[in-house]
Amino acid sequence: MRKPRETNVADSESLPETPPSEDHILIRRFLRSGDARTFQELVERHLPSIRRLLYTLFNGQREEMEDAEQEIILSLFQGLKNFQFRSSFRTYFYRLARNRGIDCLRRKRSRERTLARIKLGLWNTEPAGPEQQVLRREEIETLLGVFQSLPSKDRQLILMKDVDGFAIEQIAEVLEVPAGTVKSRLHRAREKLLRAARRGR
Amino acid sequence: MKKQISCRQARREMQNVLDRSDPISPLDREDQTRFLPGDVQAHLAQCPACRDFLHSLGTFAAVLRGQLDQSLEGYPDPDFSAVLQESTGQAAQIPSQHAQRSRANSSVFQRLRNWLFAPAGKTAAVYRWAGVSVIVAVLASFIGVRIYLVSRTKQVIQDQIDRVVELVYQEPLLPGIESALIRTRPTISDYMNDLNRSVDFWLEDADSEPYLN
Repeated sequence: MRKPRETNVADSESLPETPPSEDHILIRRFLRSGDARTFQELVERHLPSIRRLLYTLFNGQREEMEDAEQEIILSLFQGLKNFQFRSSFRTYFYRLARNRGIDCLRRKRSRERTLARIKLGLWNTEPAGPEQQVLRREEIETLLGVFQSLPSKDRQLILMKDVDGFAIEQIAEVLEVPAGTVKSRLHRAREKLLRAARRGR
Repeated sequence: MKKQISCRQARREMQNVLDRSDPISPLDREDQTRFLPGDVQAHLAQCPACRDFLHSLGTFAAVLRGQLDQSLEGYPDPDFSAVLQESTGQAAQIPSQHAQRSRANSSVFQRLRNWLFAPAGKTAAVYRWAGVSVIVAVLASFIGVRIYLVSRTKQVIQDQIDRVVELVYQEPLLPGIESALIRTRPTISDYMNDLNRSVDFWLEDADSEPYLN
């Protein structure tokens, strides 16, 4: 059986790897000159996939996403001098974004818990009204809604492999788990998604 | 004849083919059926649910991606100038804070040094050294007295505990039973300590004496 290896250039964003040399050239140029435009160019090359990751992590909450994005870019700006040219920049940036994003999410959750504790004594929590229930139902009817209802780890796996086209080994590098684990988790996540989507239809 | 495989195996194999097929555009995913092994293809011919699964597997990524990108439409560009400003601000802040702290520390030591050792061009003040010596001596003797008092108090408490124990054990625990301090009859613990004695001897004693103490 022949293994399919051909690439489709029509959809450039789904390429599993931007040519490493181009990223590396930009990084070297930025480290040499400190030119902000070079840095901007480097970030913008990978921004769509980073934004999709943030959307997945924050369930589409824009304000939180914007804050996290800003923090990630700042973190990259400050840490780029430590980049080892051995690995791909895309994987490096994605891992950094994921770690920072999760940090932001943890901070946000702890803030929300505190707020909830404060509110607990002041207001009664009422069940969602019919309008909210309709909205939720509409959300579930879209594939994105089903996707967002999956556990965060499953969402990240599907996003990285199927939407952003990372290779299994790269995902393993970002998530810091063995490739076999990535594969089995990914299979389960896909089945969960497709089963849930079928139920939603 | 192809061997039969389960839906689960067939789906796993479909996904394996899909995972091996990177880099592949989502648009081409559905076309991967031709790379499926024969037994999976045979299974697909008979199983509509798995055919449906394969179709979804081939199309969901593109749909999901489209919906994700649609949700991200109108998302503002990152503020690179703010990042730069913040970054350079932090970079400038760190050394200045460090310098401030070290300045504060050094000024305390500087003053103490000038107080004890005369600055250049002046003679050292003897009365300051005498004062410091007196303070050190008082502190040392104070600590010494405290240590002595602790051992003394410990001895007093120990004596009191010994006295209480003696008083308690002088009286018998129950009427008709000897106290631990003045007993004349053997107890169970005495037999346990002396294992050379025969069990019969112990039982003999046990018949006549209540070994409760």
